[in-house]
Amino acid sequence: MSKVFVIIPAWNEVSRRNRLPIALEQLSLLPYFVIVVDDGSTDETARVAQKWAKVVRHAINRGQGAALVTGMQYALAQGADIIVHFDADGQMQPEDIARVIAPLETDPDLDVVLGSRFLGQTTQSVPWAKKYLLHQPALWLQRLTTGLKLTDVHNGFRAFRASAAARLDLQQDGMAHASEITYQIKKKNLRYQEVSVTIIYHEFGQGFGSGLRILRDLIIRKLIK
Amino acid sequence: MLLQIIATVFLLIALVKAWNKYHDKTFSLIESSLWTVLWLAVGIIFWQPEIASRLALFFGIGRGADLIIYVAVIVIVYLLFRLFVHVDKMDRQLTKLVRTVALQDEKKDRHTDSKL
Repeated sequence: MSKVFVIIPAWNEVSRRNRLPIALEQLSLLPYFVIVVDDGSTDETARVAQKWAKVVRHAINRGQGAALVTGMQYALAQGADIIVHFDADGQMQPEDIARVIAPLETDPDLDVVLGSRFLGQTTQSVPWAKKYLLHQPALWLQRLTTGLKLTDVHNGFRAFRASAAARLDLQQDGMAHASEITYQIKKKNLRYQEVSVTIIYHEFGQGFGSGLRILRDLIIRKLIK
Repeated sequence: MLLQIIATVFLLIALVKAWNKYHDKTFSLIESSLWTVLWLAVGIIFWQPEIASRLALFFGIGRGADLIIYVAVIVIVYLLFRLFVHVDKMDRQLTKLVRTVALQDEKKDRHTDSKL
């Protein structure tokens, strides 16, 4: 039985959406090690999460990318076999974790499994503006820059074999980490596969503004390199 | 004339500061020398503005003042870029530090838990 660690970056989840406790309660019934990385929350996130999961705390807010890396480092140090990325906002379904790690357990050559909202079955409706104005161009841009043919861009639901997770060298602390991950999957020739997952939108997820900020972060990093 | 005198006074103060910093090891020799060159150039322009005009003509630019502005803009953009790079590096180092502390704290918590 593989040691599966579920990493959940969290920031002020209790004062804003408060869906994290529900997710944690569901996750506690499943055979995974759940690690909540509290990214400098100023509310009760850490205290609440501690009831259900192991909490690793950033003293100050560094960004979701940074929180994921902290969680992954911790998991690897604890002897994880598989590492799963899971969001704290209640949009992902805990039952989908089994679907996402299954290919890794059956195919020893597979390194990464990426969740997709658009494989086979469709999920509950994606807001149309997001889908056509943001998602299609983003998909196209991603194929252009990373060469990866994915059906979903910036889906935070991922599973890594520990050896693959250890090979990642993620420098983007902010939301641009998602693009960095896909870029590194391509660059390091990691064997990947997509699996359909259900994402439930309770409210509008990422704003347009943050999309622009991600672009800015990626461009700045490219220039500095 | 008055402006040139005031400017020269400020210049000399700046020069003295630059070399004081060298003496108390805040600035390297190169840094202090660069500042000296800069302030001397500023002084020369103030006293002989025709030099700026001649340089400008040499580069095919209309006025001395324009040349100074163009050079200043290029220098500022370059310094900004260096600043960006530095801040980005500091950002990443800060994250590394926060991560180290987070994982150390976690280890401490684990030891405390197991002692109970």
